Amino acid sequence: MGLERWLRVLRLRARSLFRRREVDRELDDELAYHVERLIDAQVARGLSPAEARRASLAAMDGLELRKEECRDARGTRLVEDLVRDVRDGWRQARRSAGFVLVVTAVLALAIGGNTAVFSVAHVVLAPLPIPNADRVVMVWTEDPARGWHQFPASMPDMQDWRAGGVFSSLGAFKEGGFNVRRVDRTDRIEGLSVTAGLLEALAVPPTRGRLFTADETTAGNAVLISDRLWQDLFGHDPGVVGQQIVVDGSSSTIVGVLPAGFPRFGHEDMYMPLRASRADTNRGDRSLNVVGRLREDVSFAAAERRMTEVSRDLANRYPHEDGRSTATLQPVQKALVQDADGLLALVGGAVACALVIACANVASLLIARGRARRRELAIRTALGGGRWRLMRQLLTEYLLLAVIAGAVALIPAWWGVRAFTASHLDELPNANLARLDLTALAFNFAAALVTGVLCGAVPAWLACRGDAYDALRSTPTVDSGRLHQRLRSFFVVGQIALTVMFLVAGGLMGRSLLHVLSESPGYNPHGVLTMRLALSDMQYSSPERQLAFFERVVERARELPGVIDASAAQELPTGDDLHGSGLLFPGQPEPRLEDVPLVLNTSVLPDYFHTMQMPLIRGRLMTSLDAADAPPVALIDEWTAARYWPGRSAIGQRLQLGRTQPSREIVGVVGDVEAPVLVRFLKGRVGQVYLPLGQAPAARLSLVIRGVGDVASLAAPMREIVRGVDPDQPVFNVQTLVAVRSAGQRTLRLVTELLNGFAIAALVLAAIGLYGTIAYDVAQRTREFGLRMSLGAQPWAVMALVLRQGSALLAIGGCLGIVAALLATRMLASVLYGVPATDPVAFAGALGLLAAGGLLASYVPARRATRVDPILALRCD
Amino acid sequence: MLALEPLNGWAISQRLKQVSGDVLQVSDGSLYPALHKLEQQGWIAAEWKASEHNRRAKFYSLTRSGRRQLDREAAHWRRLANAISHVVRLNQA
Repeated sequence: MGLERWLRVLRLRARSLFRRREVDRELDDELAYHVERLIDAQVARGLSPAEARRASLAAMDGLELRKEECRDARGTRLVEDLVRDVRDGWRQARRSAGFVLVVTAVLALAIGGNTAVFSVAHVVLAPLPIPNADRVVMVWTEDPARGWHQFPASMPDMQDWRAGGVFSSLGAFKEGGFNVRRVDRTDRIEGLSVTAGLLEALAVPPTRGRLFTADETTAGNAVLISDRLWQDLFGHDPGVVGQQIVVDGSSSTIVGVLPAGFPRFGHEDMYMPLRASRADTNRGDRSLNVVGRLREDVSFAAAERRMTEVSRDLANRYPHEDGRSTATLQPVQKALVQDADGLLALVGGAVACALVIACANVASLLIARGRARRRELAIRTALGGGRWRLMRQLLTEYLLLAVIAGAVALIPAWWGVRAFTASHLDELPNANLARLDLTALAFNFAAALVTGVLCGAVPAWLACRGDAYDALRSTPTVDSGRLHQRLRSFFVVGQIALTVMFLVAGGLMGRSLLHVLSESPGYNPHGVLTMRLALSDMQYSSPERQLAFFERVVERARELPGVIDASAAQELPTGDDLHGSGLLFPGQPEPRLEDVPLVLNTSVLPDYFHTMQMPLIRGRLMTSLDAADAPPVALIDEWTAARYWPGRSAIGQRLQLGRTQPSREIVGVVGDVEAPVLVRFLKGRVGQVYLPLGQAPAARLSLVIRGVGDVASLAAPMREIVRGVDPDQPVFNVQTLVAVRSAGQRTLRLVTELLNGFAIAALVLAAIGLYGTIAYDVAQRTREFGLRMSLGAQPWAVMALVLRQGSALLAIGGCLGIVAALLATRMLASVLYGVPATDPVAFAGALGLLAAGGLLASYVPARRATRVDPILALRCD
Repeated sequence: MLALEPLNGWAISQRLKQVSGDVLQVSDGSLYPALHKLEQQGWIAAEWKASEHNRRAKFYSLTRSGRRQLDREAAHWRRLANAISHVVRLNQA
């Protein structure tokens, strides 16, 4: 029965809503008919038409009231009110476009930030597309005594773990890169070398082809590729499975393609079976990342207990290698997002805070406006508007603002998501897949509504709480909002202090960046092309062959027209992949492990310094005579010489990089090069040691080629040269030294931009908060200002009165801010470059900006105070 | 009344006076809100037809679910009335 009735009701409701005029006319007609009949009846009884009419209308007990009751019966009142409120709200908004613009901008930024972070988190923290992902764990070596936390394992350890019996499959991977040649093109592809059991533990079926067979995992030239590589390198070629490619010089077959969502531990796009090596029997060689799938009948806790037993057993059997280490389990999902967790919590917390601050700000603005609209609200109440109805109206108005802000928020949200996807942060796996999808839109809308309620509830309640009589009285009580006022001042002062802190920090970082950009890096980065070469151990097993390859490439490069100089180094300065070693001094007592200073070291070809145009300060440079069979030598930079051999010459002194390394004689001191930002950030200033490539072999080098004119045009002939020497070797990361340098400064740039972004946002918010407080106060004191002006006060005097209040808040906040900044910027000292943490320019600049923003924020309401018409102010308020 | 035939508001008010013998005084005004409420709840339906005075008027009729609802309410009322009359009789006894 219900259905028929509900359909009927629904039809009626819809008609009342969308055909309101028609329905109203029908109501008029219906009642008019009744009245007519009544009149007829009265006339029939003998009354005059006029009397009959009066009597009839009286019988209806108020015709219009009855109509209203009939309308109420329609049950669409709430919706109609809502429509009216929205229309009212829209009208209110248009009347104060500036206010709406500010509120919308503030809320939109805050909501957009949250939406962006949500979209990213949504993708990054999405469950892995692994069947029963909660059963898959990473197995780490833990040895607090040696400072090992989540440390890789050795092959023998892994085999013993496998025998422990808690895993249905257990395997491991090693990260690395492969040189891949197909037809006439060679690329460097990041990849994993995997043991048997790894892909089985993950248990993700390939989209094409198959996984490795048992034979292939031990001795096969089989390759699995990622969906991305299949697209990038093979253009989604459906016949990719079975194709032959040359990997590290040996022919291999592509046996399968893994799906797009396959978990990535790094940047890998290729998977090959791990080749057996001598290290496989060395229990101390820990380089395997172990992944296992727990047996179905074994709980996580039981597995942990069993692994502890296994570790204890291994410790007894191999006290030297495994004496104090234990195997710990970590769910693979956690392992893959563990860096993301922290980062997202940090960023998410920041944007959530920003939203709360923005809400508080907007709320205080709305309170101020509610105050100004007290009379309007009071009149509405006096005319019969219910309190709840009024509150609903205000709330609707505020929600409307929030929804508009929510719509605008999609712009910053889109921008934010783009920034995230473009950042390629290793900490955020899959972040490049983040989209403003439906879920994100739903979140955005919900956030907007919540924001609206957060901002609007208290102001709406406050605005409607007041006694109508009180509000309409000729002298409204002044102190009704004193507590309010004080709280808000407190809040504003705090905000100003925070703003100063951010401004100072942003200024310091900005000035550091300027310094870094303008200062000479210690070498001439202009006119140099760099590119990377990585030889595989498979093809170039001996250091001599590696050295020969590099020397030949460099030699041929020098012969190219337009090339002035060419050389190679293991790592470029300001690169992001740096080698550090402990610096030991032979002949001196060995210090405790934590007291060993860290130095950066890089192996270079002899004419590296010449090519980079780095000055020799003392001693000699390297020559080709500093070969493997010659006495080991090293060059150091000026800073290292002054730091460890102060007041005497470092030439002829000896150093040792790690206990197993030979003792080397220092033969020369070269100029300092700028320190990599990341290292400075993590370790402070560290020294730099250069070793001859012949005495410290490296399989991966960066070529540096100094030329005339556009050096980028050297890329093609250089590729030809490398191809000519060995077609299996890819040339990658081809970029100018200037670009490498600016990439190395990206972290500094990012931190600077972030801090300055926060600083600007904080300044805007603080200005808005200040504006709100003062505007509120001005609205409260309208009558007082009117009185002052009518007694002869000049407009400027009134303005000064208001500005004084703003300045007081600014001064208190500014002072607190400086104290806070002095404390906080100490933490920045290690990343600052060329500026002290107490740089007066940064502090003055911050205060200047604050003063400008603050005065502007107080000027607007101050001007309003001077525009008070004394007559009006005294008459009606 | 509507159970017998569709009626317009005026006719309902007249019929009400006749039937109840002027005991129930439903004011002309309060009739319509009540009718509208019933209509909005789906118990009665309305259509526009020519009245006995040859004017367009809104005629209400009982819907099927309305009739069932009426039966329920009537039964309920009868029970209540019975109960009350029992109580009244008890008091008199």
